[in-house]
Amino acid sequence: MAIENVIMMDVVGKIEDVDKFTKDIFLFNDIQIIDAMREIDSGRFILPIQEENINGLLGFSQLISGEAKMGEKNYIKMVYKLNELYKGSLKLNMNSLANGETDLDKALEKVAEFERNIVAEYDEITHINIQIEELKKSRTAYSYINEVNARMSELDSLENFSYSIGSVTKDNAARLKSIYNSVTSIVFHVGNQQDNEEVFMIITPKDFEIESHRILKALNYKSIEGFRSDYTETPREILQLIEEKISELQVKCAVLFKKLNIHLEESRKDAAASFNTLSLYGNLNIIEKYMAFSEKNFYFSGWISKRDKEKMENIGKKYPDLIMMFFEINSGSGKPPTKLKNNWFFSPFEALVKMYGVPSFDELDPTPFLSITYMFCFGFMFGDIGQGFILSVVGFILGKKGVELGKVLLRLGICSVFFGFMYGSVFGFEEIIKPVWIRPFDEINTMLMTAVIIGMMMLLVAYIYSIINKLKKKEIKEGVFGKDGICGLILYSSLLGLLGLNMGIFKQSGLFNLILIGIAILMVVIVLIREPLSNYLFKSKQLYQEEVSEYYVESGFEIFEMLLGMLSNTLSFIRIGAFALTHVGLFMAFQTLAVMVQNGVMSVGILIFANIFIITLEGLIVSIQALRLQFYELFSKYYTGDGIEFKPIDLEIN
Amino acid sequence: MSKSKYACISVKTLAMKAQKIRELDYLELIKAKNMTAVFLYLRDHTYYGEFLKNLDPLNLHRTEIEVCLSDFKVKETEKLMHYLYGKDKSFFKMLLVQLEVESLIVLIRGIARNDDLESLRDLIGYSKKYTNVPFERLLRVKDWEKFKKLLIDTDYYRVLEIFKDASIEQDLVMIEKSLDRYYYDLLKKRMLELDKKINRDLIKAQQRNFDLHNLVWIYRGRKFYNLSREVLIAYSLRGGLEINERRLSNLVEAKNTEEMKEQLINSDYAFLFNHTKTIDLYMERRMKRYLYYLYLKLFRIGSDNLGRAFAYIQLLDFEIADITSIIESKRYRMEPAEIKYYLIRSFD
Repeated sequence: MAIENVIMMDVVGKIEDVDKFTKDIFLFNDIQIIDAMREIDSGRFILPIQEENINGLLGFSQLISGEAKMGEKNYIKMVYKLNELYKGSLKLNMNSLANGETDLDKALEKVAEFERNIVAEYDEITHINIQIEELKKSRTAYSYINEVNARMSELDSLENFSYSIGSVTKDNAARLKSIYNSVTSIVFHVGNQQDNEEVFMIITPKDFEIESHRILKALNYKSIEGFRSDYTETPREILQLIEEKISELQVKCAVLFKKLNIHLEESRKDAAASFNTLSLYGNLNIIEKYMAFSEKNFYFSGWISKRDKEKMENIGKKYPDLIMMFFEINSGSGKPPTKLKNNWFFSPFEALVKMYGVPSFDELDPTPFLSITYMFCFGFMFGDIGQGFILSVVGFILGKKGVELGKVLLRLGICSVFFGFMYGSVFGFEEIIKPVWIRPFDEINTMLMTAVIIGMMMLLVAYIYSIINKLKKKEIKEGVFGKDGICGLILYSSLLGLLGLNMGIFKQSGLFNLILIGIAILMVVIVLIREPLSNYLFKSKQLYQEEVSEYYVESGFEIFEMLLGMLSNTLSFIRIGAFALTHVGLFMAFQTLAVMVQNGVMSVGILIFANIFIITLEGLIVSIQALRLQFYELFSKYYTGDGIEFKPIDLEIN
Repeated sequence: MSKSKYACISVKTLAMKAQKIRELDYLELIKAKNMTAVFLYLRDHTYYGEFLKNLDPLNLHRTEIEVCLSDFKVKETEKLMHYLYGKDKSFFKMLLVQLEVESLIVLIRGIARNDDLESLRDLIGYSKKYTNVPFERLLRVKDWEKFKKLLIDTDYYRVLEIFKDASIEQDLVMIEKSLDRYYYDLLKKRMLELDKKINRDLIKAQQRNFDLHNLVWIYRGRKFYNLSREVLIAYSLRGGLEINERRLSNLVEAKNTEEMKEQLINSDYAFLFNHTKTIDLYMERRMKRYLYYLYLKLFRIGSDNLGRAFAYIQLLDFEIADITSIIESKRYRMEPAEIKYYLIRSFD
């Protein structure tokens, strides 16, 4: 089936092997790592007490988690630096890691050498950038007082007064204004800052400095940074000077930058190799954080898929003294994650399933069923060769760009093309080719009936899914006697049979009619008494979990809701027929408009617009409607979606 | 438009309020013998039971109950926020910002006392979902500079950055007042962004809240701390209803608290001062009780605006405060009749 069995793998190994083992794990990738410390704490990481395990058992009591042991390593910084220098153009290359040289010391050495080569330019550039930042700060600062017509050196050397320039928030500015008359300073409003603060210049007699300072502090007054004592001219002259300095530095910086880039290009290959190795170790470091360590051993836990067991064992064999244990689900190993496995055709639809919820590990993966029926419903509602083709082209392009839903769109488009042939519709025009099946608008009843019949079939399959899921979870009560269980299926089928008999679809037969009615009533009764019935069969002490009367009132309503649900769920599928008709109708309306304008260019314009409109808007509506049928009519019957997604290592790390 | 947009949240709030405790429950709580009895009553007979059920009655600490109740308030606020969007939601979020500010103050006091902040974990309550303060990392911080640095991406940095040392007594008070002022300024700003016509009553109630805070601040600042008028103004709140800027400066300039009382004799807030002996002891409670009735009214009439939901959380806050007071009073073995004096809700 499309859900893979996963098993828990616990490993104990020698601490000397930890780096190598982690690298193997990392390259293997298809493992969901788990915090080993947590596994051990919760008593799920169990080593059988045997002589050969004695080394692993020793030190079990003084474990520390990898999180505590592995700090940030300095090479992580290197990785960031390389990434910054090459502006993110270096990528981790798994292939060369698997085969190539990955010695950490060598890589570090190389990076050190590389750094020496470019360090001069790089440091100078950073230095200049810092200077420019400083100058810009000063520029803002002095621009607040650029109208002051005095030399700064004079202001700085005032004998009885001191000045300061700073900002307060708007609300505090209002408070400051209301005590203007009692503050022992002269307060000038000199400007506003970008972040909504108001800037003031405060001139205070030196005798009152402390008092003023206290009041300003209460108003959360913050001095503006960037004033410097070595600027002695008038603010205006200072500003000019700063401008000159900034442009001078910018030119210098550009030259250095060019030089740096040449150097970087020269050593790109080496840098890429080092980057590779260092990021590998960075990633290993992350994995090791999930491990636990004793003095001599490391402990690792993770989920792998069952068919990888042998491969893992082969990896394990490389290390002497490595104990590798596997546990099946249900041996108390926590809730396992769900690993979906679908072929290339179905796998894009996993995204739609996950929108609702990841399947639980013990239920069927609904992806194949959803894929087929979703495509079918979409095509049925949106059958057009031309429009479908455009959708599939758009889907193809999006898919290539890595948008997962693009791949879904490609498949939907192809289905649309298929139904386009069925209906004989090309970009809405029905005159170009003959339909293989029917023209929807000519046979409205057939369309609607077909839609309902398709719905019935889909619902029947949903019942089967539901029964399997419930029995797998050992929910006998619901699986056998429940409304979505075997009884529900029999009831629904017999009701359909009755409908068929009385509508004259099947040959009328009085006896058969009676039998079906009998079965239907029996099923209703069984669903009604499903709780006492199953409790009786399994010999539970209590027949009812609650008050008897309460149970029957509740259950009675459930029966009512079930019957109503069967009807409404089935009729709900009429929409696929209805939307197929809308699709044609909408274009017909535009076609009429195009004829009415009696202007060739306008008509063509309208028809082109019609197609764009239909592809985008109706395409969206139809895809939502089809999804709604899946989620509401079908999933609610058979699917819980409360699983946890399996995350292989690279996803976890990114 | 739009009165109907509050229909949903109003009905939800009504249902939530109906589950809260009633006067009879209060009387039972007041009568309870000790803290454990209070706890057991809350657990077995009230809506809080669901949130207290994991506590062990035999080994119970007062703060544990308080933390549970404050978490409960956060949850209720978050729940109501689902029904809001845009300006309404940002205004409502101020209820969570308030908790955030209170939690920060707890931590800053810890820093000032050189406490291990981790030990204060149980005393802070905030919304994990809506906060952008890195509380988890703050709990591991040892010194003031690092504490400030962690807040650099938040608005609080601007408030705190000018303070060089939190352990100076005077500065600590200033820090707390500054944070408070930050909260109220932001509250005012968000309040003024609301639809004023629809939310008139809510805005008025908030403005009265501002008035009361100012009065208590100025009265206490003068009587107990002897603060200068500039400092009093610096930490006063703007945007009150009756106490406008002019009256505010008159109050600050009054010669003494007696003159201050005289100025207020004909205002709505005379109730704070027209007592002979107990002004100081019950000032906080009188203010809260006044607000309690104000919010109760707002809850009643605010069904087609944001008022009801906002009032609900404030009332819940008072309810929790009362429960906390009852628990506290059990520690001092107070008589039931005496306890009633200290509660926000009145039982006469």
